[in-house]
Order: sequence, then C-alpha cells, then structure tokens
Amino acid sequence: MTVHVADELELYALGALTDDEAGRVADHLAACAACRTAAASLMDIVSALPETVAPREPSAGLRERILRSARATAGAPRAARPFPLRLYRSRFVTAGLAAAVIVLAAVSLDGRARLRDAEADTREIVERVSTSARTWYMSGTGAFEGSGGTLIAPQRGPAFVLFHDLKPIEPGTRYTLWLVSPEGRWLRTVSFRPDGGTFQTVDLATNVAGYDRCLLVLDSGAATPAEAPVVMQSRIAPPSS
Amino acid sequence: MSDHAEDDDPTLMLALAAQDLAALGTLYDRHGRLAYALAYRILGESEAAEDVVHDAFLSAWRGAASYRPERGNPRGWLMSIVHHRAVDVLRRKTAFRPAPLEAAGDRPAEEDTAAAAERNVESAGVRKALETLPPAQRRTIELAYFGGYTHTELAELMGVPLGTVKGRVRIGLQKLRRAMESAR
Repeated sequence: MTVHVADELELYALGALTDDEAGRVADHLAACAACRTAAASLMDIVSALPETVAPREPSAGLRERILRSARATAGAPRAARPFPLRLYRSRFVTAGLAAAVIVLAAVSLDGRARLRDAEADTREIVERVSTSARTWYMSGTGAFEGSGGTLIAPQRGPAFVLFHDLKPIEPGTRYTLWLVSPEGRWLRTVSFRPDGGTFQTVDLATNVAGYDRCLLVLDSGAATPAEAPVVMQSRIAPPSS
Repeated sequence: MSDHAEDDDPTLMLALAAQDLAALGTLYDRHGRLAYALAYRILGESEAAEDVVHDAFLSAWRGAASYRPERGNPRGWLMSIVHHRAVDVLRRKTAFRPAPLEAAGDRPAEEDTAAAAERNVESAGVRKALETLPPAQRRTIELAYFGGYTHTELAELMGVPLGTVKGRVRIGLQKLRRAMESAR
C-alpha cells in the first residue's frame, strides 16, 4: 500500500526535514504523480522567499572565480546521472553522488583526468549504497595532503570508506582505520595497504553507531593506536533526529 | 555586453547545457546577487556565502543538461541549489545555531535595468505578502527556510509540539500563496 507524503510536503519544500526524511519523501515523489504535483505547487511559493532578503553585493572577483572553475571543467565528462534536484533527490543517488562529488572536489586537476577510468568504480560504489546513508569526509593532512576518504554508513549493513589518492607507504607498514567512542574506547576495524588505484574501497565490517570519531593512522605495528601518526580523521556527527 | 544578454532564462539554460561559458557569465550577472544575498542571509558570513554561490553555479554548469522547465523557472531552480548548499554548510558547522538576524542598513545592489526594476516590484510584493502572516507562522517559515532548522529543532526552539510546527508552515504557506496571488 502506497503511503503518501502529503503531510510532509510543506516541510520538504522549506528544507525543514532531516536528510533521511527528505530522501524518503524524494523517493516517494519520484513514483507518485499526485504528491509530485502538490510538491511542485509548494515549491513555487517557497521559490519566492529569496526575494524577501536584503540585497547584498558579492565581491568583484566572484564572477571570474566561477568562470575560471567552469573553464577548468569544460570538456571533462559530465555526471553520468541526472543532477540530483532537491525535488527528485533519492537517498540512493544522493549518498553515492555525495561521496563521488566530495571525492571529485578534492581530487587535483591531474587526478580528474584519471577519473574517466575510475568512473566505473564510482558507479559500483553508488550501487552499493542501496538505502539511505550518512557520509563524513576525511582529508589527509601533512605529508598525506591530497588524499582523502569518505566514510559511508548505509542505513542497513556495515559501513565502508571510499578513499582517493592514497599515498604509497613503506613496506611493513599499513593503514589502519580506528573508530573512537565518546568514552574513549578504540575499535580497530581494518588494516590494509594502498592498491595504487585512484579509488580504493575498504569495508569496516561494522557500523559506526556509538562512535563519534574515525581515524586513519599509519600503522607500523609498534606504536599504540593513540601514538600512531594520524593520516586523516573525521568526527562522526550523530543523526539529527 | 555578452552575446546572451537578450536571451531569456530557458534559452540561457540551453546554452549552458551546450557548455557555453558566456551563458554562465550572463546567468551569474542576472542572478548572482540574489544568490549571494540568499546565501549570506543563511550563513551570515561573506566568504562562506561566496563559496556556496561558487559551488551552486558550478553545479548548475555541470547539471544544466538535466534541467527541465516543468521543475520550475531557472531562477527558482538556481536558488533552490543555493539554498540547499547553504543549509548543508550551516548544519555541518553547528549542531544548533541561533537564527541569523537581518543586517540593518545593507548596501543596496546596483541595478539599473528595466528587468531589475520589475524584480524590485516583485520582491516588494513577496515581502509585503510575508508581512501579512501572523508572527508565529511567519517566524516558523523564516526559521525553517533561512535558519536551516529541521522541524524537530523548530519544535524545541519555539517550545511547541511538532504538530504545531507543521500546522504553522502549512497554513502560513497557504496564506502566503493567497497574498501573492491577490497582489498580482
């Protein structure tokens, strides 16, 4: 039996739902013409709200900055999937695309050329995110700047990380991903070596509930996890509702 | 003057989809100030607001081929992208945040075209329509749209049940629609 979302459309149009709730509504709208019509009507009203703000002038350089960025991407392959407009966003597409967009934003111009070959890998990642997911981005620091990873926690199933541009490491060392709870409890999830690809997916074999930080450290087997050099880390924000 | 100065917005979107950089420049010239004003209203910081506008126009540039007129006019579509990104930034920055107040005495943007004059009239109409709402409904809508609060956060912030929040936005948006329609 179809459960309509008419009761939530005003909140959806204003952006006052959580990501999970908005994703559920978007999934329904993609399949229900009646709710989609109602939502479009509400969006018409909401789209007038920006007209009520006080006018402000951006800096003179913003225009050129935008054109320069667009010029840099002109000729690069466009997203294989349609742009995820809010009205039709599905959690499935959004979570995977969020991961891909976050990664794409962080990759250098040289790296973007390599992304053409990695596009198939990205599609596979999107396929894995089959239900709503939360994501957190980790950015490499110091000697590991330029690398990064998106921790992806599907609503069902274990979390995994999509890394990009992992640096080569010395023989005998490995990357180890740790989760840390608010009480200071450390959970070692997985150790691995970079496989040399632009993207590398690593499964955590656990979910992240109960932990508020994830860290990737350089593990030589000698130091305790708290002493190992931190490659990248992120706070894991709890769900908003 | 760019080649696209005389094109309407839907025509501009077609040019954008064909990767016409001049069309992107025209789109920015036409809607960039409003996009920035909206982002600033939500974030309260000029640098963060410019980053959001930059990212939103880049998203429009990359996604222009998927734009469909039935999803709304290009201006509304673009502002929807700006709003979405600005709220995402706002929610990531803080777990709970005070509603940003409107800055007093903002410098008005310079616009001297007939289209701008027409938009100013339209803007005044929407502002007036919003002012006709009862304070509780108006405040709830403003906190939701400009403050980036979820409905559960609104209920906590305003000290009312979730059902009251839903009712306020529903009735408020209905009244806003009627006020805007009667002003046309």
